[in-house]
Amino acid sequence: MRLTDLIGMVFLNLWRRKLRTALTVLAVVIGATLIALMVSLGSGIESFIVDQFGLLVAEDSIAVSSGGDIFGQQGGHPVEIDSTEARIIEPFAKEDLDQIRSIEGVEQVDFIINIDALYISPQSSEKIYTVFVDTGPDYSLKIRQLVAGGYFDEGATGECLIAYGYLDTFGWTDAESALGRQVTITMGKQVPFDPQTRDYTLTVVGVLERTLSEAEVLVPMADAKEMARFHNDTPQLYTEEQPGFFLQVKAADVSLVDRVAEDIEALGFEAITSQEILNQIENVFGIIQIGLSAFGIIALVVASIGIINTLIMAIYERTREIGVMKAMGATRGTIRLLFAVEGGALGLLGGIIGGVVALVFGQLLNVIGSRTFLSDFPGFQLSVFSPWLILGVIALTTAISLLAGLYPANRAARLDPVSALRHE
Amino acid sequence: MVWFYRFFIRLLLKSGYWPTMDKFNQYVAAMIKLEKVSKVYHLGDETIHALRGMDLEVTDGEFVAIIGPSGSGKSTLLHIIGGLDTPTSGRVVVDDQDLSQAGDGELSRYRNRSVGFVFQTFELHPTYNALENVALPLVFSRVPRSKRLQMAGEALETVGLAERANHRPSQLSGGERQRVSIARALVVQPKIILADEPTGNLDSKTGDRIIELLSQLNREKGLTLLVVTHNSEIAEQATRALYLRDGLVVGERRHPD
Repeated sequence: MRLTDLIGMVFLNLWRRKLRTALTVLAVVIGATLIALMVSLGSGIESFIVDQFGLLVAEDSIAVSSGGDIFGQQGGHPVEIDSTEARIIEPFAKEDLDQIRSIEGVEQVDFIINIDALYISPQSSEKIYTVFVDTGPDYSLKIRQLVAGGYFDEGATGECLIAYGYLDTFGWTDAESALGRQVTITMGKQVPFDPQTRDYTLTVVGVLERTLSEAEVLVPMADAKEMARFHNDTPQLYTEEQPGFFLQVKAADVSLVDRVAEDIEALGFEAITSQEILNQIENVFGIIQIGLSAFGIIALVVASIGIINTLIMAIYERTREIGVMKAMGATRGTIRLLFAVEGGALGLLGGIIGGVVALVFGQLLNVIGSRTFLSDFPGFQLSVFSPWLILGVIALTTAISLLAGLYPANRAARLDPVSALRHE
Repeated sequence: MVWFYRFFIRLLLKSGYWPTMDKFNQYVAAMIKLEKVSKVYHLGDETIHALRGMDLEVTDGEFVAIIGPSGSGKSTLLHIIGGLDTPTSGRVVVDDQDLSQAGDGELSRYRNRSVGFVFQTFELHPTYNALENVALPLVFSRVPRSKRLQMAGEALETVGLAERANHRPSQLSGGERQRVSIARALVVQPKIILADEPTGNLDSKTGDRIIELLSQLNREKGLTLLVVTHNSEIAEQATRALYLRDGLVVGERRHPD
């Protein structure tokens, strides 16, 4: 049998039972749509997170911590501890700093400063608001995008950049009008029963582009150190003698990042590059995508049972026809192929339609999203389709239905021609 | 040394490996040859002996009517000759092909090239028109579409239905449908036509015309024709009538030519 004849015959047979074909295909469409849509949403959100990450973290920086398991274990089963060193984590010492600085390819080493502010209030207002205060060396602050104003100088004090979200919160009309205004950040003490607070008044010199963290204020390094020292009651904190537990290392070039990280780890410290964080994000999203697609896979399994059912019905109806085809010289192989391809064709149709439906739904979600809950993030696509995703879904549904078609196809092939011709 | 050759040849002849001239002639002349063919099948607990060691020879160009009550084995005989069924024991040789030894591939090829079937209920594909129905067997021998339809057109012309080529079976009369079915059997240019009650679903007048057509194909194209029938008209027209009962040939009548 020629391929064109095979395809022609298969589609003619599907066309003869339009409603049944449509219903069987519908089940495949549901599965294919779910899979395609879920994967596309997964990749859309993943690329959003990756983009956001790229806006916040410089790709040539490495986060370094002084000890192994900084975050410790919480909950779970009791685990035996093999040494006290694993529990008591020493902060960095001056020698550590020197060692890290002397690694080839290290351009700059900065403290990662944690600031736990109590609240923020705008100029001449009694109202106070939540705030997340952050700082960083010049090179990592300057990857942050501004909508108005400019960056403060590296040695500056008393200045700040505020997140876009504060404009609305403070009742400031636009980004330009925020420049030059003052905000007050209030710090408390780390020890909760010490009620002392201290106010730091800063002048807004720039407004940050929208990101996921909308309650953020960036302050110069010097101010951050002051705030952290007051908060921790440690005047020597964040000096060469007391560098703290975390450092940010800048490699001279992006290509050196991995090597520098290895050298740092060889000194007994923990180092994590931005690429490693990105890889972890990708892994997590890979798992999420598979998890979300599971519903689609289940739908496809159900659909393939529908295909088996449809084909068994078709064999029953066309038994005499199969007998006649055998009498006309169709081999068992030909009959098997005819029905297996009929199953595959149902999957192919379902995959194509499902792909298109998912594409339309995805675009619809993008449009709705960009007009409502995602209006703050122009250019962000909730659902991202690559041609490979569509082709992959079509290939998957076709392969599954072809497999589903094999059992009925074998039944049809094994029909005895004489009894097939007698079939009523 | 001569004695040795004589001994050797005698040994060969006795062993049966050596085809005697007698046997050789039989094989060459016979289009269809059955030797002690039995067919046993099971229907639930019942064992049915459809054929009980039947011997039969049909020469090229014969028109044989097979007559008998239902259950006499006439359809089974036709199916075995047509390669749709295989005998439980015995030997079937048609057109020099041993069907009793053939597998699915060989049998399918044989059904596709050497024989044409005509059924009582026509068995036409409802969504194909007459031309496409006639062309169906050629689909399985991979003949390209244009060539296929041309051959089908010629076959339809032979049965006098050229002008009905684009009609679907539902738009044709019973007699016309049977003609399409005959054209479909002819399209592969077989040596043998096997017809199972070809007039069984037709009124007698239409049936007569079908018989006339089949008989004409037998006379003019030299096709070997085997017809299972209850119709005495066919028995009259045939060059030979075989009477079957309980899986055996119990009577035979040759047409007085």
